[in-house]
Amino acid sequence: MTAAEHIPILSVTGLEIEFAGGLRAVRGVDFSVRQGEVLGLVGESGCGKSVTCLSLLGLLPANGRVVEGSAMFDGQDLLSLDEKRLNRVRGRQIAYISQNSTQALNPILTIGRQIAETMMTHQGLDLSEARRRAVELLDRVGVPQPSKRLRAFPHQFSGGMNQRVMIAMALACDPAIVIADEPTTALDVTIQAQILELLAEIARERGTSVVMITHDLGIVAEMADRVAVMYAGRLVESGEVTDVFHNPRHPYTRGLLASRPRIDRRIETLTTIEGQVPSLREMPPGCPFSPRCEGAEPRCANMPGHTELDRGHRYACWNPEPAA
Amino acid sequence: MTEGNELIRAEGVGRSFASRRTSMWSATEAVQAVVDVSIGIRRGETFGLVGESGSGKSTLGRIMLGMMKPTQGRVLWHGTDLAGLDPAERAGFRRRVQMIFQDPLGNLDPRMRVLAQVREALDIHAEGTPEERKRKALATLASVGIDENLAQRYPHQLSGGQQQRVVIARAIILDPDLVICDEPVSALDVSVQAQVLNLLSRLQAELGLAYLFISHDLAVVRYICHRIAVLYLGRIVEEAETEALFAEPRHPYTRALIRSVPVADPAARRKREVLQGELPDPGSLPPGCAFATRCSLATDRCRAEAPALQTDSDGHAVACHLVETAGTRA
Repeated sequence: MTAAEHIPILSVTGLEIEFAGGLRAVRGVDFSVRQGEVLGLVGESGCGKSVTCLSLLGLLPANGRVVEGSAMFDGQDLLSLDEKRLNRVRGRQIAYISQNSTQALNPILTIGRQIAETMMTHQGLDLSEARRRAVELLDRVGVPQPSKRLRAFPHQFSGGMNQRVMIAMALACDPAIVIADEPTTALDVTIQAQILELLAEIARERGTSVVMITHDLGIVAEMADRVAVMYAGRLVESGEVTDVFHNPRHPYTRGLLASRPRIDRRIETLTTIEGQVPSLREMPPGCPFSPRCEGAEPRCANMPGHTELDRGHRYACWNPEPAA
Repeated sequence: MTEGNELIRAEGVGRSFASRRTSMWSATEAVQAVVDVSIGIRRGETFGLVGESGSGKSTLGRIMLGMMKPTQGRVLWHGTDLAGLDPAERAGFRRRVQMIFQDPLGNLDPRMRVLAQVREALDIHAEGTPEERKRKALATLASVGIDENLAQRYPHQLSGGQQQRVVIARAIILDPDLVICDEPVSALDVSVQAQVLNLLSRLQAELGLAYLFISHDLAVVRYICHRIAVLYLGRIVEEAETEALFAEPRHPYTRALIRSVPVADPAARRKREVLQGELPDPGSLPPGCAFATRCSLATDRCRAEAPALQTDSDGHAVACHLVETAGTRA
């Protein structure tokens, strides 16, 4: 990528999300998505990665709300749009693929109807034109015999096939950004490989940006251009994938990378991160990782700011890991 | 294979299930979930069963545990057929073989404190005085990293990792020889997975446990297992020592499976050889090799005739026609 292509199409700044009872699930998160790139958003359950993305689409659960921050997309702040304007963005300019496609699809409508509906709503196509396009899309995402499968219902498809249908729906309006929330977690590895390949291929061919939410560092390493690591509602490290994976500066990033067994080499003993993620109710003051961090110091009781290195590599730590 | 110190052996084990009828008049079809599987687990070793959903790995685990009867073949415990154990022997088997499941919360009683649940097995077997049982339960919990304070809580008050530690404590308190672990870390977060995996390794070293480790996660299996069998649609397609399997996977399915796993290193970014197609319907399998429908190397012979599992002198077993003809590699 050259510098000229580094124009962000989505910039999130100072995002704070609160749930009922004053629980801050996301605290001061900044990130941007560039034209045509794959951004991996990683972290363990409860780190706020999904909630962050849902807030951009106005899809937070009823007990959650954005208390601060902005998300600039196409000259407007997504976080302050009303439902009507948001509906022009959702599904059309920013599409969302969820983890459990079989649950996300409507069980009583045919596959064809559901794909066609998106295009009829957003692009004003009539039913026959939308159906024709739906066949093309199903064919593109690798559903065999697409014109026949149009009449099938989601329960007649496997999980992998339904995920292909979700991708077809997401692509129906040629969006600028696809947010994929753990799109392959429920699938077997050989099917996961097919779906990841498909997503990468389509993103490349159309210049679509992808935000890939995942807990799997392997998927990030293979798919993403840049990565943002979240821990307990904070963004702890972000940057280009090679910088973050080969030279992690935040102790959490380093610990996470070391605690996963590798398929490509033999490991005698895994390094572990002791303890567990603090609950939102018992968040320590300052750096949320400090209770589990071997390098914690008294000053970690104050929240560290972000330090910026080359190529946009940033980390939030007082006592970072030495550079590799 | 050395049979001397073998704890348990499945011999030609198969299991079929009656599937739904397609119409009121049609006959019920039988689906073969496990087909002619023979494996042996030695004292103190970790034997891995890997495969994708529908591979029959959990069914096989249940059969080895004696929770389900095989429809073909038999399971031998120290050389004796499980089906022929008298009640006293059966009680002994139940003590010596324990199980850990994927979802810890689903396997703990929500209304019982952790300590009481771990102690329960000792109560049932009426071991020692109540005071001794309590002390042993606390000691076992401590050995898995659950302190006295946590032991007084209810399962929902613990994190997922802590719950799984409790399940492990409950499994080891009767000093079993074999623990069947069905996806024991799949529901846990990455940082907690490593803790539980290291705990399982430590307990094995300390207590001489054998594990039957069932998982879909090849990286985890490579880390923890000594020997691995790869299952596809209920059949063993390859079995070998862990390092031999990863250094030289022989079956095309094993190779595809290993290559499908993303590696957490951008420098290792590989051109993935994606396995095409999906699992065929297990109710109406083609006559030959079960993998032939997805195998890029399949020949007419593969589609017509099922390959037998052939073991070489190093104990590396493969079921593939192409491996036989080309010597070692497909």
